[in-house]
Amino acid sequence: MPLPDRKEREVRRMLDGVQPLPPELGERARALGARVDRRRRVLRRCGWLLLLLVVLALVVWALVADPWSTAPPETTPPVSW
Amino acid sequence: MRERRARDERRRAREFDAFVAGAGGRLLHAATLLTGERPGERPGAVPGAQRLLVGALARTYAEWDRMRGGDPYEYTRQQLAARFARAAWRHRRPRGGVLAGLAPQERLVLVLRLYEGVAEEQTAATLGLPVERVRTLATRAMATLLSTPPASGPRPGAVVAEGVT
Repeated sequence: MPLPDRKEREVRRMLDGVQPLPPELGERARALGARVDRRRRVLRRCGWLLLLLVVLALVVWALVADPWSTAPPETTPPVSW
Repeated sequence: MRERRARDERRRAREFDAFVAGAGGRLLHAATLLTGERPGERPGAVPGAQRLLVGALARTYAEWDRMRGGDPYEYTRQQLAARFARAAWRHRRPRGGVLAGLAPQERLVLVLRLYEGVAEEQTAATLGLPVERVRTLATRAMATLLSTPPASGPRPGAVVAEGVT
């Protein structure tokens, strides 16, 4: 067997093992994960709400200001030298 | 709507619990190797590793439903590596574990390559390093590890069995 392989095997053996799991660890992770998830959901909802508000504001402004309907009614005054 | 969400939540918790029950011990051992703490029989023996793993698992739980088809174990492993890399300076002090004599980055490479059996290329991609660098780090770490066997404490391989009566 080549030397590097033997070394690798030996180190692998040194690393091997399983650590006993505290029973509440999963629950802790779940609680933390649920919090992260909730925060993200709230953030996403806020984003959508903001978008909605912006669109709404744009529509209202467009209806009020009517920026595209009428061309400026007057021509520029003649230039007099 | 609310009822469906509650049902989804329960299903997700069930699946997640099964995953942790199956893979948790192995992941916690990997985390323990990373933090360089001395493994112990007593639950709560490795607070640093537990903190690291809880953070990684929390992300896995948050991503659970978006992970359809993906491997939760692999995702958690990646989270673990990323979190450890981010906070590596915290784990520089030797704490009596098998890999305590190595630099944090060497531990990371060794754990991914040899404990987890991740291929060189994938390890490099996970850590954002060139493949040659990963190879160098692994070689150096192995040389250090084999030249200085842990002087005190039980043989690393026997640690888990220790104390079982």
